[in-house]
Amino acid sequence: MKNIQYSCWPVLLVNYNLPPDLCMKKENIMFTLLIPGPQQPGNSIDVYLEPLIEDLNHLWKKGEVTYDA
Amino acid sequence: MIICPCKECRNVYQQSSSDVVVHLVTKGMDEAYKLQSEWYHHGDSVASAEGVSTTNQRNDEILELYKAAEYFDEELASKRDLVETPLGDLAEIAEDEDRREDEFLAKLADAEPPLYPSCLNHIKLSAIVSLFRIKTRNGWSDKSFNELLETLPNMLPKDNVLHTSLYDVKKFLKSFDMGYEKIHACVNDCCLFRKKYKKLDNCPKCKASRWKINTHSGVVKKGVPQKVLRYFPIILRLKRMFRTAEMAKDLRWHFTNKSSDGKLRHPVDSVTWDKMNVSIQHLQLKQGTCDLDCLQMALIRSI
Repeated sequence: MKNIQYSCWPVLLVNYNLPPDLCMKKENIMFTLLIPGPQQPGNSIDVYLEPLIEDLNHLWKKGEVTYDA
Repeated sequence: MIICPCKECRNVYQQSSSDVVVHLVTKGMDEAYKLQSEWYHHGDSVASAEGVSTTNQRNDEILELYKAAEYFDEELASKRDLVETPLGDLAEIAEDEDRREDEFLAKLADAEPPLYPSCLNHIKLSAIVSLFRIKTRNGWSDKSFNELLETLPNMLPKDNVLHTSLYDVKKFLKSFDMGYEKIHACVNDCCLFRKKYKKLDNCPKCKASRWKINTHSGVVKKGVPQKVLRYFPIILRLKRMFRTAEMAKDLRWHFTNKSSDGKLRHPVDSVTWDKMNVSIQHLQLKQGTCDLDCLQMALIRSI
């Protein structure tokens, strides 16, 4: 993989509430953001993480009502 | 006397059938045995009577997920009917859900018919999902998938409900709220064009154009963004995870799996874990809200 012209950054979210043997399973790792290239975002990654952090803060501060099956 | 498959007897001890029923209800069934496709200790008749079949499990799972979503709405709606004046938050949500309930019912009716009248293995939803799985797993192009969809309905018996184009399939799957948001971004990573910047054409910081510019003529192609961030909303997904019984159990694993005999098996049984819980509650009480930074600080202190 030399001379890569384009790089794209995925942001993955792992739910540690799941049991330890499940939380790192492929199907339980959540793909949340796809940061476009062509270069890596570097320090400005904060800009891109904004929507995700907003949702996480909302869940932390206020929470959401959900039906517990 | 039959062998008892409950958690404590574990197919070792024999009990009378009425005792077995009591055991199964109060203690639950042995997890490992429950997952077996054939309950070999109890003959085939038991297995078929209890309805354990692995062949249709995936299809059932898909339908189950969908139904869970639908019942969620029904539950809230019925709650609203029962309680005349529900508390503020729930009322708002129930109203919102009620509005969406009709849509959901229509969607469910749309998803449930069998692929064709005499089809036993597939309903419309499972057929589409499994086709789409094959597409993504093997990296089929949109064009080839579209062509397959054009041919398939002709091969199936009359009155089949399969969509004939990729566009229809995508629209159908979108009704599950499992899509993603496209957020336009500044080429130089200054900002995202959302909220107060939503309608801007240029970046407020570096004045770069939001839209693509033709390199030869220099004409700005309005509507074609230079950079797009894709965001898969997590809140909806987490909510949906709680709607399946099995997942909901797993999601509360740390809370429910605390050991009761005072022995340590997992960090969840430790004193530090409890301390953390208490200190976070303190922080939340003290400030009303709690930032992630506070959590980090608390973590560092406890270590």
